[in-house]
Amino acid sequence: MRRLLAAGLLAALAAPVPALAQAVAGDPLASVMWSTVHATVLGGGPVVFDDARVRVFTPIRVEDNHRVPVSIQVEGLADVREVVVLADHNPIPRAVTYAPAGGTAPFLELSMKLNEATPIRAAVKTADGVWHVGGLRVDAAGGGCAAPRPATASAEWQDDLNKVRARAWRRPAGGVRLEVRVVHPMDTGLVENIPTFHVEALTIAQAGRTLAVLEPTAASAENPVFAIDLPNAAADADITVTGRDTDGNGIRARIPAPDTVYGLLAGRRS
Amino acid sequence: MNRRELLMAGGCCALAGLAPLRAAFAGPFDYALRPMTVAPDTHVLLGTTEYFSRDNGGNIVNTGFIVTGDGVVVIDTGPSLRYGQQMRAAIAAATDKPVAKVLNTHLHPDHFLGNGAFEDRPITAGQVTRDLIRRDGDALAENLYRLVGDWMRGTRAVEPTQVLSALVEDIGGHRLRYLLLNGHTDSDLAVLDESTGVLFASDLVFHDRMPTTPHADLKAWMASLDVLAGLSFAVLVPGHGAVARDRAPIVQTRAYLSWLDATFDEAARAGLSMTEVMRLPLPPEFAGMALAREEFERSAVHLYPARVKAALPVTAAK
Repeated sequence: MRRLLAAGLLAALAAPVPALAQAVAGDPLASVMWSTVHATVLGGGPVVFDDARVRVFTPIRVEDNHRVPVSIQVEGLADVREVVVLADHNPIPRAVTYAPAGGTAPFLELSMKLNEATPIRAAVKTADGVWHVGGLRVDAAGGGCAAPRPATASAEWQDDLNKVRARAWRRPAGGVRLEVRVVHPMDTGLVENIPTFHVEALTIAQAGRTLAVLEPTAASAENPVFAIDLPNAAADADITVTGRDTDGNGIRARIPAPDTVYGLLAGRRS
Repeated sequence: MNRRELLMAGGCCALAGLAPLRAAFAGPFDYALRPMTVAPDTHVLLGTTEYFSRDNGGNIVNTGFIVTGDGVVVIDTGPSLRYGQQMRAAIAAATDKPVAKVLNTHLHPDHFLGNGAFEDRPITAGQVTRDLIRRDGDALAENLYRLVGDWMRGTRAVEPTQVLSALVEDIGGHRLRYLLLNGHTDSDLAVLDESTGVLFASDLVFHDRMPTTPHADLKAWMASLDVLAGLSFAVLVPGHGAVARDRAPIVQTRAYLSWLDATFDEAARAGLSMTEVMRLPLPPEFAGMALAREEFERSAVHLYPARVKAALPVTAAK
């Protein structure tokens, strides 16, 4: 009798579970949400898990769920059309979509909200339609998306909504490092009765030529800061950032051509 | 005694000499607190230099007590109710004197969440610390439940019942000087026992353990360290790390904070992003400190956004 029961249990365990809650073979993070975010956030398509060429970095300990820095380095992939940064277990999984104009997306960093421990991924789509996916798992306390912004949350946006602080640096190997900070509450719509309200588009351009387009969601941190490498930017010309938030308020900024080289002096490095 | 009893006795003696094993054999949720006498009447409960975990139950902190003629003065109560209870038992084992008062040095959860074991006694803190515990205590306790689990059972944020009024107190033959400083948090209480020369520096001073900065103001902290360095003391009890008999831990903490301050400013001006700052090499004099990389990364999260903001000029709308 007991043996029969055990056999029945084994059979139950072996039976297929619904596709939406199943880790996918080959997903190095064995995430039960991967198949869902693959379909709903990325719109499906072929996937190659490639942590060597798509490198995601976050700190060891996530302490402030409202501001988790995530950087993406993409190396050895040509014809990059789109980079999507997402967290499998977030109620708003996608934090930003980044479309580089020149086919390469060497570096992007942002800070994002996490609602719980989750895989964080960068999915890089190349011209052949393949998603190259890198990622890692982070542990975190609850509540980054659905908890109120911290008591110390800034009221900066009440006076300075969509004001931009930014600076460009010349990269020693060519191109420009740009940092852009936009004053915005980036409300998720999941807190109290405050509706969704966030920056939804930023176009980075030079002399009328688009260098990159960023499409953030409310999963990006309050007063978002984006650091981005623009390999095709000229180091002797101004850069413009134009965009809007979900209420249609405009964002416009002109950033002077870099007067400094990116990076620390060697002496400071050790 | 037969052969078997002899073996058992020998085994027990051997176990008693091995602290980790002893903790494992003492039953669950035993912090194995053993007061260390650092000066006459003065005892320290030395925590590990680790981060919070389910193995250490949050015992990563130094607490202490001074046995005066008018009762025991307790300095910080540890991370949980269980810690507070076990601390109180350790005090009772060391002296017949009752607990006269409890001091909370600052609002960090590893320092005050044992208050529940001392609810029948006056619990004193600076006004700012009392107000911050009142505001943030529950959230801080909640986070520790997540980090150390069942060690926290029964723990709640018990706020101080009294606000520190005098800055010098004569109690039972000890003259205690209270220094209300700040910088590690908005209010940090250091206690100098002028009768024994013991300085309880709270978390203003770390020793061979990377300082933590979740509520830090680096410049204020460095100024507070200058105050401590100017005091005359014989024994220094840091908030985390080994007890010292010189100023070295003050010098070490200040050197690190100074390096952190300058590095973050320079990095922000040089265009480094937060995760790039996190991966900067640490100078050799700090790289060997406990939790060096982890705490440096945490500090970047705490402090770097403001440096980036300051380094980015306001742009013109085109």
